Amino acid sequence: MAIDLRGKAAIVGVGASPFTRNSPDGAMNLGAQALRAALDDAGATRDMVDGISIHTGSPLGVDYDRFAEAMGINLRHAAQYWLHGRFVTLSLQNAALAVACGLADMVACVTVVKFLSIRGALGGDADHEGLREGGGSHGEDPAFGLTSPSGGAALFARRYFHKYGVGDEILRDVVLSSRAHAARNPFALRREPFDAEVYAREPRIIDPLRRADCAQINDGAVVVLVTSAERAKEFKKPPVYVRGMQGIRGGPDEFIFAPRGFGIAQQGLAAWPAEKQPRQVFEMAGVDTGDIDGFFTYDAFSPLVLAALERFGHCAPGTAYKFVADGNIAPGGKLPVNTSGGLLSEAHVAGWNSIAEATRQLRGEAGERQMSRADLIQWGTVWGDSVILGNEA
Amino acid sequence: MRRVTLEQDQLGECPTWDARSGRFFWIDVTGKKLLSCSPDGTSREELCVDDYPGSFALRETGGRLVAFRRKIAILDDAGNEIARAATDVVEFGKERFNDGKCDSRGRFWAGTLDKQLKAPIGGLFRIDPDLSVHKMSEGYGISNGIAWSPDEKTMYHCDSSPTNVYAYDFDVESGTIANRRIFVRFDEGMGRPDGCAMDVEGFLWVAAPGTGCIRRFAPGGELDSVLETPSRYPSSIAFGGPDLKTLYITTLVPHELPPNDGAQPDIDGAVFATEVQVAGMPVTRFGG
Repeated sequence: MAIDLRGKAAIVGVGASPFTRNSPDGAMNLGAQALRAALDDAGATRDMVDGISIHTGSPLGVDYDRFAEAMGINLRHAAQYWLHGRFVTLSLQNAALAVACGLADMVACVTVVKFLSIRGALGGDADHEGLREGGGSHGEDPAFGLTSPSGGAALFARRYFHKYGVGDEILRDVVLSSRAHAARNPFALRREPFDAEVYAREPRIIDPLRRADCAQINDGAVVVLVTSAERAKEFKKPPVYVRGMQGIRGGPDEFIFAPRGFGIAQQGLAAWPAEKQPRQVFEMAGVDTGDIDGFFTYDAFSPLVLAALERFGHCAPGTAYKFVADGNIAPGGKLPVNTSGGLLSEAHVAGWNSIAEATRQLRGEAGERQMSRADLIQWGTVWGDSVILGNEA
Repeated sequence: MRRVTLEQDQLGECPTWDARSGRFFWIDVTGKKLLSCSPDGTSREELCVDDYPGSFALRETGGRLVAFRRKIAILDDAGNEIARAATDVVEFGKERFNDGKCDSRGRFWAGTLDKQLKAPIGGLFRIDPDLSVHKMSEGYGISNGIAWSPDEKTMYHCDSSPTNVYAYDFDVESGTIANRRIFVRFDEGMGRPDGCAMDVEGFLWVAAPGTGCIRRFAPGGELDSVLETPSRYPSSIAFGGPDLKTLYITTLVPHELPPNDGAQPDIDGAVFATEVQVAGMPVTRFGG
């Protein structure tokens, strides 16, 4: 028998460290700053935290045991994941499940990244997952020299261009939108003036991706505090409820950076009709695609935004680029995407900076970049995981 | 937790409860001020001094002993210098005075820090009531808070760089220390140990600026509890009030940090206080 988890868990605090290149602080210090900021945001104290959900461990991040020890928090529930966009809401979902089922009272979702302290972490010698035998976790094919995650995104982009008869202007439009959001965010790394001419001058990293099509590489930390819906009202800010969830996908028809049917890596070319696509996140939340006010996604590379919009039905296959070109995901658009600037322009805190931003939007505290309407925000990624957050349970 | 002072210091330090007057005393190091106020923050008094005070102690006979960066001076109640200790054993070319506190016999202990805030070249000194200065130990980067166990057999001493809290065997009769060892190492993420205070149960409370915490350690060095402070930058602590169950907390204003660093311009530098369950150990006045 399924347990109804709609609105049973809520985010009550979000906090971050500074987002910088080459922070003098180590991972533990960054995590400590973010934890303290989240506690302040919630009006909570650390003795209330008895669960932890870590997005990535050391050496890039922090491990649950050492972090709990240094922070002086006593855990009765701990989980730890890999550093990939797929695991953003898996670690959030773990927290929601834990508090909804009584395994913990308050779970701190902790993400720390020290990208700049580990040489070769992304596609280099230190990228153990990317170099694993038989193919990396982003669809890397190290045997053929395709060692970094950007390779998978580039394959998808090139295939999309071919399929729909478009070019890299569709990536440019995603980046222009992202930079426009970031310009309204004082904490974003990329706030400088940016237009089509600047984009055109950006160097190619891996065809057809330019530098600006790739995420920021930085140090930083975000902590998000999750508690049960009953308890959530005791804290300082309005709760942001977890309305719906669905997990990551895997299997022979899935390639991490492309919708089904694109024929990349092990994928087939069979069509994947809309009626067969899982809608679990919407069903649990009791809403439909059209009810969503903002769509937040793991934009480590600009093509992923297009793929994610199509995967969740916000755009029909082959139309997301037009939707983007018409300004729909930009500030003031019909479906704003990653209003803090996301990974492309704010910072790469493994997507958790966007979860923090979604929380701020739903509370109505995003300042200059506040969406005109923010009652329901969907996090959804091209690999299929999703969470719908709402300001009502 | 309540805010005691409306005013904000640049670098609040050396919180001191005076049972005799029922007033709270402290200093602003970079603001070059000796300060005091009533427990509710009113009737604030400020004495401006012409050098940076690192720490101070109230004197048995009135006025203060102040460890300035490069001198140990006795000031009267009006802040006029009336005596100075001979500090030949201190090498001011490389070190300067920082935090200090009196032991139960009225001897003032103060350490020094590397002027460059880098190398462990600071010393630990004892200033006796006759104003003689004795070098007791060395090898500290940023010598900071000092406290004694209730049985007076152990002295604790914080170094902010490297981030260790040391313990020593203490002989209260002779005022000597021996067997220095690491009591607690502040690993990354715990902040830097700064000021400290002892409670009647023998637990050491240590302020950790950067993380916004006061950490309370059992006599064996185990972390007992963590107290959040409103500012992320608590610099030092002292027990006060008639029953010594009020914890006073000085804080500092961080500088040159990136945005989103947790600096709170409206509260950093203020003094805070909170009631606690266990009483603190009293701190003695300087005997000279």
